[in-house]
Amino acid sequence: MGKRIEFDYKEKHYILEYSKRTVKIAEEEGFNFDDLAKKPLAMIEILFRCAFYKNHKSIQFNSDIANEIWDSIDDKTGLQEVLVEMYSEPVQQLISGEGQTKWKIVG
Amino acid sequence: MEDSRINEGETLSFSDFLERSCIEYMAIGMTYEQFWDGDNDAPKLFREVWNRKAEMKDYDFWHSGQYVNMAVINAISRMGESERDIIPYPEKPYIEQERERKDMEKQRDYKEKEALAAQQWMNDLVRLYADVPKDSA
Repeated sequence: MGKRIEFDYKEKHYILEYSKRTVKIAEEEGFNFDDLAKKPLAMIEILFRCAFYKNHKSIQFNSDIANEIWDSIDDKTGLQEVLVEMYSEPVQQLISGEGQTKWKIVG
Repeated sequence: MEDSRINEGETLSFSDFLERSCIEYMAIGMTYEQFWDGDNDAPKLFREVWNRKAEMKDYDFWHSGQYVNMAVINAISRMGESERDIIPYPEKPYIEQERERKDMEKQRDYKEKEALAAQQWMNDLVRLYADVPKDSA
């Protein structure tokens, strides 16, 4: 199972998760890696809103509830790392595999 | 599987990459929904299953080759002058022969154990009678 974000908002439990379809939707909504450095908050907002799709399809991208939750969400910059990881995961799973050339981190 | 790597000079977004991969994974048995909405770990399992199937198929081909080989050997051996030179074609498939061999081994082991137990029982009985004082009989 992939990485997920869970929180409660107004007595409802939310689970944010990324599938391959959500990755596609995020790009359709305007997310791209090139803009992540230039306008990080806007990009993270897109990733956050799209992450509802898998488990909470009734929450539309620009619905009042999505806006409310985004406005109230804590540690928006902290979300960046996790959401980018979640967004990358479906693609990483496709390209992962046993390679012959091993690598390591140095320094 | 079809190669999904990026061609020279081509830029591929995640969406493009996923669209391309979807075709490959559907070719090895994933449904459209499983690919787009399913668990992110699922493609790895499908890849493993596909590799296993490829191995099994390869084994099947090898096995067929063995039977063809035996048929050729059998045919050539019939060209000899004597009946004794004939190398027979297997009467049963190799897997069935192997199963029968294992069953026979099991039966043989069981019989040996039974014989040992009977021998032990007989020895115990003889020892019991030998220990009985003669005048008590």
